[in-house]
Amino acid sequence: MKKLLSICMLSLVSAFTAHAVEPGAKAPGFHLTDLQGRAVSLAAFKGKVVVLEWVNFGCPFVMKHYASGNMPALQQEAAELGVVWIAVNSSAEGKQGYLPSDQMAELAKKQGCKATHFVMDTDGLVGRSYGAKVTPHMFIINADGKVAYNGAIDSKPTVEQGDVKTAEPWFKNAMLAVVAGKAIEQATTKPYGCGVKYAK
Amino acid sequence: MREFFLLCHKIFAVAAVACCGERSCVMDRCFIAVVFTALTLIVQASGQDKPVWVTESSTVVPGQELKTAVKMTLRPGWHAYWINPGEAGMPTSATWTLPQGWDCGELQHLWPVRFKTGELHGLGHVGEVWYPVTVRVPADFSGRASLRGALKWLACNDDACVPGQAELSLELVSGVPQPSSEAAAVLAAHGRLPKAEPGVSLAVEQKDGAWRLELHGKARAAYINREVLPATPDVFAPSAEVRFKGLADGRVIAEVAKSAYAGKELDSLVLWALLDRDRPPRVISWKAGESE
Repeated sequence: MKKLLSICMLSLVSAFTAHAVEPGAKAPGFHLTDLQGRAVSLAAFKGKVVVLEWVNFGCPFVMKHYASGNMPALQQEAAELGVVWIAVNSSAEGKQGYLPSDQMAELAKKQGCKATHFVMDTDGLVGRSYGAKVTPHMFIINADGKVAYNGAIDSKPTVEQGDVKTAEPWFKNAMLAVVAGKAIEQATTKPYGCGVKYAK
Repeated sequence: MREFFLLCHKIFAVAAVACCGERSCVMDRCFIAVVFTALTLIVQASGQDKPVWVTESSTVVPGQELKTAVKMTLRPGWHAYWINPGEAGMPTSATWTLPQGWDCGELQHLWPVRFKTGELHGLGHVGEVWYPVTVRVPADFSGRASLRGALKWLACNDDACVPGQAELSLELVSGVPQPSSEAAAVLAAHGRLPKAEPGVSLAVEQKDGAWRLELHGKARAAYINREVLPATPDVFAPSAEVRFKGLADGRVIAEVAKSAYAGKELDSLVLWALLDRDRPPRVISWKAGESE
């Protein structure tokens, strides 16, 4: 019964992701549990700026940003600015990026992940509701609960760590703009990375 | 190569078990078994066999344009990406380390196939993939030359993406060209490179939020209903098909949905068209501001 319900919900969600969340749209709500067992729901962060980072530690594009220290540095900066950072793993069981919660927690710590919360979205419902396509795929939700940024971490779609320094930090610029209440120059950029390994 | 590793693994695994079961275990054999197991796992985990750089001839004359190619064989279910990879992925590319005066240009791609990685539309290649490379031999060449390259690619299947890197090398000697054992395959790959289309020009404009493409020129009717792909990334919506239709007044047009990531203005657009499966594709280019 639960599975049938999930399938029905999945179909509904899939139908809606054709027009995945564009800047200005209301950010889809979610209720998940993080790796420490804490409840994480978007509604609880009303009034705060929230970052969603789709992650897969098996993906070379994600590893570019962790091995270089770029993503942890951004997570740190976010924390200092009072931004809630939620790392989301939508990999299906058995696919690249998936690990049971305790191993996932260990790996995230090993990679230096400083996200406020790390959630497993194994059935992919949250990922599909946002239209998360690749890892890394970044979303910024402003204090009014609207999507302010949907796109890439930066401007160089490569797996080379060396490109982090010379790329335009699109996501970082957007995050700083949202926090400062300024307009974002590029609110939609093409995210690059490995496809999210959704459950079928 | 993979079969060789598997066989060696089996042999050494048996030897390792046999020896390590005894008190006087020889560490060497255990170590070799571990190494071969690791190698086997690496070869199995990656999506392809080691790429090779092959040439139509190992002997070349000065000033020659030598046809060579990089061949990569992907395992079933895996794909590598085209110059326009689609929604995700990364095109296969190469950088070269060459002696003074030599030139290889860019790694060239052939007509791709469409596939989906999960739900993402992609363009690229599967199975045995050929990337033609045209080597320009300096006019003053004599003796030997060692050419080196670094190939980079991304191989994905539905469950995983694995980046790839491989060293390429080619040893050439000055002399009368002699067809190598791969000459036929190399020439065939070069024969499939897209060719510029002189009889047709392309005009591009925006209309009602979509791209409106129009072909001008005597040969335009040949493009009606043929498969056309964008070599320029992020212009067309990922699932959009480009199909030229012939209007009653003789015009040939196609309307294609815009990519969400297409800029407000378009600088240039390159299209590949397959008019005939047995002939090389045609390539048509458009640049903003140029008259037809």
